[in-house]
Amino acid sequence: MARPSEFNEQDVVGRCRAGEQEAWRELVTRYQDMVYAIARRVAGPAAEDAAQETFLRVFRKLHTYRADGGAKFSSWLYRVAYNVACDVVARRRPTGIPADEYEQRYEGPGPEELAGSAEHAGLARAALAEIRPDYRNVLELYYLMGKSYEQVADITALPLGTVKSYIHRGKKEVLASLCRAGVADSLAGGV
Amino acid sequence: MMNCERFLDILAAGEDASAPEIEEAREHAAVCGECRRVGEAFAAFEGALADVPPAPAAFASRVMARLPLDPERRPLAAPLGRVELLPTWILSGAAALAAAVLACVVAYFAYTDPEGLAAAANAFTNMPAVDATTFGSIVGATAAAVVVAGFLAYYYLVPAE
Repeated sequence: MARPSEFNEQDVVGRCRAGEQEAWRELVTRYQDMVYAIARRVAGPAAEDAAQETFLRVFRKLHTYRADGGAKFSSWLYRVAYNVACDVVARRRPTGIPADEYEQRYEGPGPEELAGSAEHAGLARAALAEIRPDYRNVLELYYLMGKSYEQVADITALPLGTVKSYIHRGKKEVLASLCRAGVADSLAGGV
Repeated sequence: MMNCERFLDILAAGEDASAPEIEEAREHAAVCGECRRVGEAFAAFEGALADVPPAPAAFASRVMARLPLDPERRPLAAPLGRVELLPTWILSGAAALAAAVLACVVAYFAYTDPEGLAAAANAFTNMPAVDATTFGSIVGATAAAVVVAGFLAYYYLVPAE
């Protein structure tokens, strides 16, 4: 995928603000993979809607992004993507059911992300599906963002300590799930 | 000798684990087949989550088709763009301050000149009655002014979709 750091994001953002169509195409093309990945991790089957809605919201709210505070545009964009995906999940939740009681159908990373080995893919998907959704969201963002606690805290607006705690507990739950699933038995001879 | 639970703790600590702890875990995995396989599965799991696959084909085109960039397709374009207002916290603070000042002024007059305040209140409530036509005109003009002000605010302050 194209890496956002390869181009001058402030220049592109400035041209987007001026309504330049080519700049918008460049911005969407540049960030679509990461935005879609966040949408898929948080909103699951509603990823397409969430990812499209992200760029529409960016279009409407670009005037609220200020680079002078030192905030990177990509961080701001990922925060928008995460919020939109959370909104999409909340909208699809049946009314009257609290978020923590609603277990969204979790699809996990797509098949192309888990193409390595069928055994590992199945175990990873099962392990992720078992852990608490708030741990799962943070854990998935953590890996997507190159294991940066700070960036996850920035995107989710959670305190840094909470992010670290969620990630640690999430990993513990995944490991416990892997142990329960009998990694040793299922992979014996295969790894 | 490290036990399997300690191995899992170090694995969960990840980058936060110290070098001696990582070495300790390596030594344990070398002699414990089950932990070694859990470690390998966990490494595969982490690798899978770190991967960012490409967005679906034509996703960017679908997004571009929805962005109302063509001026003719914009339902309502603000010709001057978004008017940059002061930050919300400043506006909120100013409104709260104005309300507090007004309350203090009223309280001051109520304390120092209660009769004068009562007279002012009476003058306001004893305004001469108006007939139905005049009243209707006032209400209609006020409603029209509110509608026009709302439209102008939307036109100039809300960015086009």
